[in-house]
Amino acid sequence: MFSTVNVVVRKTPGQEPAVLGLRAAWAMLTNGGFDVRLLCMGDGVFNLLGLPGYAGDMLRRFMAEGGSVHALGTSLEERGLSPEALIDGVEVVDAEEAAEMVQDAEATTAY
Amino acid sequence: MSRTITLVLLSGSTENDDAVFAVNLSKAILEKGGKVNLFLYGNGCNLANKPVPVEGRSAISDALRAHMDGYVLSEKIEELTRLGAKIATCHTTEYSRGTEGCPYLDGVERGDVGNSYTRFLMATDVLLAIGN
Repeated sequence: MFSTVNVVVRKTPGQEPAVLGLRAAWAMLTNGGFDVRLLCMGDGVFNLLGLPGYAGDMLRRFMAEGGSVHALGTSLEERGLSPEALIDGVEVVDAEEAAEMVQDAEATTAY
Repeated sequence: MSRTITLVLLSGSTENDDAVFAVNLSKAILEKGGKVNLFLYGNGCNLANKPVPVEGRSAISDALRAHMDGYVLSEKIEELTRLGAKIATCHTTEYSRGTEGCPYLDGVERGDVGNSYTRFLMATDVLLAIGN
């Protein structure tokens, strides 16, 4: 059985896979008891700007339940976003750290 | 020892090779003695339902029908369940598509991320998400 699972979100808010990734991460954390790490990269970093409504609430609940959230720094830079623009608690990682996340998890899925 | 793979399929079948790939991969794994869980999520849930043909002759041309038939997976999905695959839907994504009450193909189970998907993950060796 897995203990650590990464969920990578690459899609912007407004595209269904972004919410599907958040929902799956939340379910794995709260129903499955997995150690779930959410990594937003590419356009997925826009999900970390403090969205109103369901998706933003899901993310805040995920973090409140102990899920960790990470943003790829180069994705922020490419989109002109500063780490300060993200919701509190997001860890900005570089490519090497993202690779380490993948390496030491039992599974990584991408949405 | 046989291993178990859980596939999360995010794409429906229409002119999209992701679903065809996922179904063919599932069959190959089953035929090699592996176990398969297939979770139909997002557009993938469109694959769960029994086909409802139009009454009378369809307006689709023979050439187009031949092309589209390559993406019709209902028989292959029922074959997967006969071979032992566990296939479940996300009823939330069905709800938003208006298909939550539509009949399922034989062997497909109604499910959700909180129970079916999580239960799949508790007894799997490999996790793979396909589609977008």
